Amino acid sequence: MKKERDLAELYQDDPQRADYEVFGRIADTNRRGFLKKAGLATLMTYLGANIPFYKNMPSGLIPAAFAEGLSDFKIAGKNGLIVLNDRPVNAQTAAHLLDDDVTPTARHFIRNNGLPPASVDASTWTLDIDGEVERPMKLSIQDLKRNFEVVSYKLQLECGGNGRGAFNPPAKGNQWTLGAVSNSEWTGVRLMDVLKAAGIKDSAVYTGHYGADSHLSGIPGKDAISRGVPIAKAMNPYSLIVFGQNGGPIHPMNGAPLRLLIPGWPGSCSQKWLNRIWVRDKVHDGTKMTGTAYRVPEYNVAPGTKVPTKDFGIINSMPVKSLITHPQTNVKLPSGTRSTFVRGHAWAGDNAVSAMMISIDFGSTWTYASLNGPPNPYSWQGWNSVVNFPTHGYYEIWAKAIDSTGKEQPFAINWNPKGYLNNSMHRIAVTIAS
Amino acid sequence: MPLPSKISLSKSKQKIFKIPVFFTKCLLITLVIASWSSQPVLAQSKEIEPVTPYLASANPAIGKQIAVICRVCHNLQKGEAHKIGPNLWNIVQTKIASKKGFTYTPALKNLKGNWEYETLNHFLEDPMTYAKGTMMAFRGLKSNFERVHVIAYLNTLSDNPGSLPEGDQKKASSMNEAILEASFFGSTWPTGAGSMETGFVCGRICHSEALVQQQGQTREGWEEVIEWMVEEQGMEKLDDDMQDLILSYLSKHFNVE
Repeated sequence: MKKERDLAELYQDDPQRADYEVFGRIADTNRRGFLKKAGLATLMTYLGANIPFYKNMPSGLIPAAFAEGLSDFKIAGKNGLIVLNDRPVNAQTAAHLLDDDVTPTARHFIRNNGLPPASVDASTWTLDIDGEVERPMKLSIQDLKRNFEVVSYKLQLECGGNGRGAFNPPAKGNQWTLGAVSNSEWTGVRLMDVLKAAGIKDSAVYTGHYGADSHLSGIPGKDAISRGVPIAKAMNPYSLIVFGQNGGPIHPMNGAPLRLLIPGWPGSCSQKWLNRIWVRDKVHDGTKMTGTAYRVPEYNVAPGTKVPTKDFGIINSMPVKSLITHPQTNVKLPSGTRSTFVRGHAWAGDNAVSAMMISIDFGSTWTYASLNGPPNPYSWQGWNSVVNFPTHGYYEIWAKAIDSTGKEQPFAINWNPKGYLNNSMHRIAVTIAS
Repeated sequence: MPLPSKISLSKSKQKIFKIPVFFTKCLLITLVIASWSSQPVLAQSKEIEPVTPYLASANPAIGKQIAVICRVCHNLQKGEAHKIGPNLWNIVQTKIASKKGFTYTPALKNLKGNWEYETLNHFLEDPMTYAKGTMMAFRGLKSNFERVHVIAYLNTLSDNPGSLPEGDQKKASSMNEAILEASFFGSTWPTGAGSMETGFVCGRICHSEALVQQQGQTREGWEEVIEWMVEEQGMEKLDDDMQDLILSYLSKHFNVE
C-alpha cells in the first residue's frame, strides 16, 4: 500500500500501528508476511536475539518487535497523541501513555466527524429536550447543575472504529490502531433524570442527539453526525450529560462545554458539543445512524465480502477488550532479567470483565493476572501481573480479557466491511539482552 | 532480505501543518507596478505571487472543485439567488460590489475598480485583511495554485468569458514542474499523473489528504467512496475525465496491496 514509506519510518511514526500494519499489510511482494520466506535465522538476525518459544510462533505472524519510538505531535492541551488526520483532527494515544487508571485530559483521544465550533460560551450554552416528552425544555448548564443531582464517574469511552487499522482487506475510514479509548472521570447529571423531568411519553423509542459541530463541507444545516440510543440505554443511570472532565472543563476537542457520555457503546453515541436531544417515536435516522454507519453484518462474513445494506445491524455494546500499558512495546530489558511487571486495563461495554490472562509463549500457555473490580460500573478495570522468563531472548506478551458472559478476546479479527469492533488481543514485544 | 529497502524518508506527520514554503516565496512584483487607476489601493500591500502568468494554462475543472468551498456562501450559476454572499456569475473583470439586489458592506463598496485578475488574487488570499470589515469570513486561499485555478474557473462563469491573458508559458510549465517536484503535499504524497488534482480535490476542500493516505482500496472501492461522498456528503460531482484521472491515481498509489 504505502510503498513510498520506508519500513523503519513507518514503525517510527507509530509502533502500535506498525504492529497491525506489519501483521497484515507489509508492503512486500508476497504480502503474507515477513516470515514466509525469511525463516527463523533471518528473524533472529533482525531481532538480535534468540526466540526461546519460536516453535509456538505462528507462521505469517510478524513480530511486534518492529515497532520503535513514537513521534510526538503538538495539539494544544494534549500530550503524546498520534495524529491520524489533521482535518478534521483525529488523534489517538499510544498504549503506554494510557497507563493511568483515570485517563488525563491531555491523553484523551480526539475524534472529529466534522468541524468543531469555532468558539463556545458555557455561560450562554443551551440544551433543548423535545419530541416525545410531556414538557419540552431548554436548559442552561447552570440549570442542569441546579436542578439535577451532579455525579462523577470514571467511564469507558471507545471509538467504534478503534482497531480498524488491522483489517485485511482494509476497511475505509480512519485507521485507528489501539488508542481511540479512554477512561476519564466525567462530571455531570444523569440523562435519565433530565428525561424524567421532561416526562417521557409511552411512544418514546429512541433518542436523537445533535451538536454544534458542522459538516466538513461547510454546507449550512448539514449535521456532521447525529446518532442516538434506545430509550433503555438512555435511562441507564450511568448515561450522563457531562460538563466536567477530570475535575476541570471539558477539552475543546472533546466536546466542550457539554456532551453526552454513553459508556460502553461506540463513542459516536456520546454526542459532543451537545445542544439538543430529540426523543423519537422510532429508531433515530440522523447522520451516521443509517446505511452501514456504525453497523456490522448480522452474520459472519469472509474478509472482503460485499454485504447487502439490509443485512447490517446497529452496534450497541462494545465487545470485551484490553490493553497492555506497561511495559511499552519493544522494551529492551538488561541481561540477567528474568521477570517484569506487566499491567493494563480491560473493559467490556455493558458487561464487566471477570478474568484477565497473560501468555509469553504465543498463546500456548496462559496465567491469570490480578484483576481489579471497577471503581463504578462502566469503568475499565486495572490488571497487573509479574511474568517470568526462562532465559534471555525475544518474547511477546499477549493479553486476553474474559467478560462476565464468558466471552474472550479473539486472536483474529471478525472481519466486517466498515472495520468496526476489532477486539483482538493486544500483543507487545519484550527483548532480554543475553 | 524480505524487508523492503529504504526509499526516501519522510516526516509526513510533522509536515501536515507546514504551509507550502514554495508558494510563499516573495517575488519582486508588487501592486504598485500595476496600473494605478484600475487597481484599488491597499492599506497594506502584501507580496504574493501573481496569477496572471499562469491563468491560460490552468485547468478550470480543478478550480471548480476548489470552488466548492465558495458554494457555502455563494451561488455560482446564472440566475441563482444571492446567499450570504452575492451570486458570482459574471464576476471576473466586472465592477466590484455591483451585483444588483445584494447589500454590500462599506468595506466592499469602498473598493474601487473592477475584479481584475490580480485584485481577485489578493482578495482571495486574505479577504478579511484586503477588505477590512467584509462579511466574507473566509480565511483565504493560501496557495497560488488554488487562486490561479479558482480564478480561471470563475472566468468561465460568464455569458462571454474573457479570453485569458497569453501568460508566460515558461513560467506556467516551471510552476507545474516545481509543484510536482516540491511535494506540495509533503514528500509522502506520490507524484505522477493526477498527483496535484487528487491532492486538491481530495485533500484541500473538506478533509485533508491525510485521510486518503491512510486508506487502501481497489479502484472499485475508491469509486464507491467517491459515490458515497457525492450522494451523502455534499461533494460536487466530478467531471468524467477528472474522476477517471483521480481514480487511476488513487488505485495506483493507495491500493489494497
